Amino acid sequence: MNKVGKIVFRKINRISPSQFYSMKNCAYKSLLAEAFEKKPLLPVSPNAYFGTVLHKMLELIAKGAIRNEDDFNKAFDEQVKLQEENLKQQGYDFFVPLQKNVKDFGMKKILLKKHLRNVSKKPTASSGLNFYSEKWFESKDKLIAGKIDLVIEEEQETEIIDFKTGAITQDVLDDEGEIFSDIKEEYKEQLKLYAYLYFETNGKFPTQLSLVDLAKQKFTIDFTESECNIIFEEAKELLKTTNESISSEKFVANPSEANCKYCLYRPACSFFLKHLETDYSFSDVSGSIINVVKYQNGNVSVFLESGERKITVTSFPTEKYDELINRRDKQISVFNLRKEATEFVYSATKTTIVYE
Amino acid sequence: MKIITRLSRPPIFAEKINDPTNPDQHQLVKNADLIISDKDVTWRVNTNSDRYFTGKLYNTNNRFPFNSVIGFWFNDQWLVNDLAVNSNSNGYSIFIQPNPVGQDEQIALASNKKTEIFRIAPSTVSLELDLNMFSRETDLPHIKAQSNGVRSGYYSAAFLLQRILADKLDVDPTEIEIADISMKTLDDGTERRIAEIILTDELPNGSGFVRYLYNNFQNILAEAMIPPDPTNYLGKIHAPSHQHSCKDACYDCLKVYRNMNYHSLLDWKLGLAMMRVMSDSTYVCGTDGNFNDYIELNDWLAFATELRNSFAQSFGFTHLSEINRLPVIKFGRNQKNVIMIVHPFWDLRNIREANWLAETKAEIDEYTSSRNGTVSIIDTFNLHRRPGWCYEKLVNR
Repeated sequence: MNKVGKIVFRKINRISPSQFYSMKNCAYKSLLAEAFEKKPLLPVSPNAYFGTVLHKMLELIAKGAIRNEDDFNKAFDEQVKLQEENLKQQGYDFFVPLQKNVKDFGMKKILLKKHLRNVSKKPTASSGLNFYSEKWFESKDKLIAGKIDLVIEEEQETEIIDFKTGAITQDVLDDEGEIFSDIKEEYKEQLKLYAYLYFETNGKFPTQLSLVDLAKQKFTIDFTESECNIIFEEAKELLKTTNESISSEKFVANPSEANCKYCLYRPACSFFLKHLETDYSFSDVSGSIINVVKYQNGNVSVFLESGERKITVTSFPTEKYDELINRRDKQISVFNLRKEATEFVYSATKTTIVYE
Repeated sequence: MKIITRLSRPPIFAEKINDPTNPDQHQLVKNADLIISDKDVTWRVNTNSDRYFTGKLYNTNNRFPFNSVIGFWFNDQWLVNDLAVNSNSNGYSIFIQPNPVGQDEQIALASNKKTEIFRIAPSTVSLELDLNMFSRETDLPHIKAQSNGVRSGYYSAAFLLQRILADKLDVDPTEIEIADISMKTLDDGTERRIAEIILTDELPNGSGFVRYLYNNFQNILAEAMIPPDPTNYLGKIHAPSHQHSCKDACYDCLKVYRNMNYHSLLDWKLGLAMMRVMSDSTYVCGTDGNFNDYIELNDWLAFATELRNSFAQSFGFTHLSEINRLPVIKFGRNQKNVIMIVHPFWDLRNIREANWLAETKAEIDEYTSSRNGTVSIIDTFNLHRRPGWCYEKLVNR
C-alpha cells in the first residue's frame, strides 16, 4: 500500500509562464510538486503523453523537418513509440498502446496532418523571415523562464506563437449575462509572460501574440506592454510569497474541482483530503475500512465509512484482497475511481491507487 | 398494441451456474467467442410490464352447488388485490376474508428451467466501431441514439441465428429462445462495452438445437456471409430483390408473429453487419470509406442520402450537400450548422483511427468552427424509424 511519508518542502527556484496560472490558483500544489521532486504521486494521464507527441510533431512541422506525408507518418509513429516506451519505463504499461487509451487519437492525427499541408505555404528564411522554434527565454534574474513554441521575426514585426492541443477558448458570461467564447485566462497570462521574457532578451516587445490549435485556428491575444510588466511582477511576487510560506510554515491551499481534479499530488495534500470529507463530487474517496468482500468472480469490494456516509468501492482485483482486509478499521484514500450510477458507489479502474 | 404487449411472453434471463466438475465449453470461431453450457438455468420473469403484482394473504370460502351451505375454507391464500373480490354466480361463490397477517406485497412471477445455453459475442471489435448497446445517462444524445441501432444489430443477429438454425434443422423457430442480451467488457485495454447474445433450447434439459449451432458455427457463419444456395432462407435474404425491397425487416427475413415485440427494432442489414463483426475482426463497417464490398453496406450511402432528403423536406431544410461523400444538411445563418448522417455502429465518441470517417468529421468540424456553428449527428437507424424524434432530440440549434 502506498504511503506519502514525511513531506520535506523545498524552495522553488524558478517558475515557467505555463505554470504561473496554476500556481496562482493553488501555490501549495507547486510546493508539493517541488517537495516530491516533480515525481507525481498518481499516474499522469495518457493524454499528457499524447499531448507531448502532438507538440513535438507541431515543432518538427514548424521547423520544416517534416515535409511530406511519408515523413509525417514515420515521425508520428516514432514519437508515439517513444512516449509508449516512456510510459512502460515509468510502470504505466496499462496506458500502452496510446491509441487505445487516449481520446480521438485518429482524429488528432488527421488534424495534425493539416498543419503539414500548410507548411508548404510558409515563406522561407530567404524572404526576410526568421523562425525560431522551442526557443528558451528567461528573465535577467532567472526567476521566470520557459520555452516558446515558435517565434517569427520580421524586420518590424515579431509574432510569438504557442501551440495548444486542447481547447483554447471557453464560454464566459458578459456584463449583460450573454454567453460568449473567449480565450482562456491562463493562456492570455502565459503569452503575456512570454512577451515580457522576449522583451528582457531583445529589448523590444513582440507585436503579436497568437495561439494555434490542432484545427489550425489562430487566436490573437490583445496586450499592452504595461499588462506584461504587471503580470511579470505578479509572477515574481507569487514566487517570493510561496517560498516564504515554507519558512513560516503557513501554507494556504485552495481546494476546488478546478484546482484539484487533475492535481497529481492530491494524496499528499491535507487540505484536499479534508475537503474530500464533505465534497463528494470527486472521483476519489477517503474513509475507514469497515469490510472487504471477495466475490466468486474474483472481484473485491471495499466498504468504507466517512462520517455518516457509507461508501462502496467495487472491482478491485483479487490480489488486493489481503492488503485491504489487513487494514480493516484503518483510514485509506482511494484515487482515480469511476463513479457508478448509484450514489456513493464507485468502481476501481486501471489507474486507481490506494494510499493510507 | 397494449393488449399485444400484455399477452406477449415475458423476457428470458440466463443465470450462470458455477460448477467446477462440469465446466462450460468454449471455442473461438473466426472472431466469435462461443460458449455452450448444459447446467445453466433460464428464468422467465413476468413483471407485469414493470408494474408488478400487488396482493397479500387472504382466507377464502368457496361454495359450490353440491356444497352450498358451509363451503370450503382455504386459509393463507396469496391473491392479487384486484382479484380479491366476492362473487356469486350459478351456485358457485367465493367469499374473501382478510387474513390478520396479510400485508401488501409486490411480486413478479418467475419460472425457471435447466436447459442448454449458447452464448456468442465478438472476440475483438475494430477500434472504429462502438458496439455498446448499454448507453449511460451521461452520454451525449447522439451516442444514446446510436446505441439503439447497436441494440438492433444484436437482436437482429440473434433472430437471424434463430431462423438460420430453424431453417437448417427444419424446426419451428420458437424451439430456440432468445434470452435477454447481456453486457460484456472487451479485454483489449480499451474497456469498451459490448454485448453477448444468448440462445437457449426451449425445452427443459435441452433438445440439442443450440448445441448444433455451437458445433457447426463455422459453417453457419460462412453461409450467412455467402449463402451457397440462393433458394434457402439465407439465399433469399441476400437476393437482389430482397435487398431492394426490404429497408429494415420483413416477413421474408426477420419478422415472425412471435417476435412482434421486436419488429420495430429488427434490421437485417444491421444483423448481418453484426454477424460480419463475428466473422472478421478487421471489419470496420464503412469507416474506411469502403461500402461496396459488403451486401449490408453497399447501398448505405444512397440510403442515408434518401433519408437525409426526406428529413430535409419534412422539416424545411434546404441546403443539402455531401462532405467527402457523406450526406449532410447545412442550416442556420450562413449555413453555419451541419447535420451529419452516420451509421449506428460508427464510434463518434472516440475516433481512434485516422481513416475516412476521421477525415470527414475533421472537415465538418473545420467548416462549423470557422463559422461558429454546431455539428449534429443523426444515425440512419433512428432517422429511418423516427425522424420527428431525431429533429426534436438530436438537432443542435
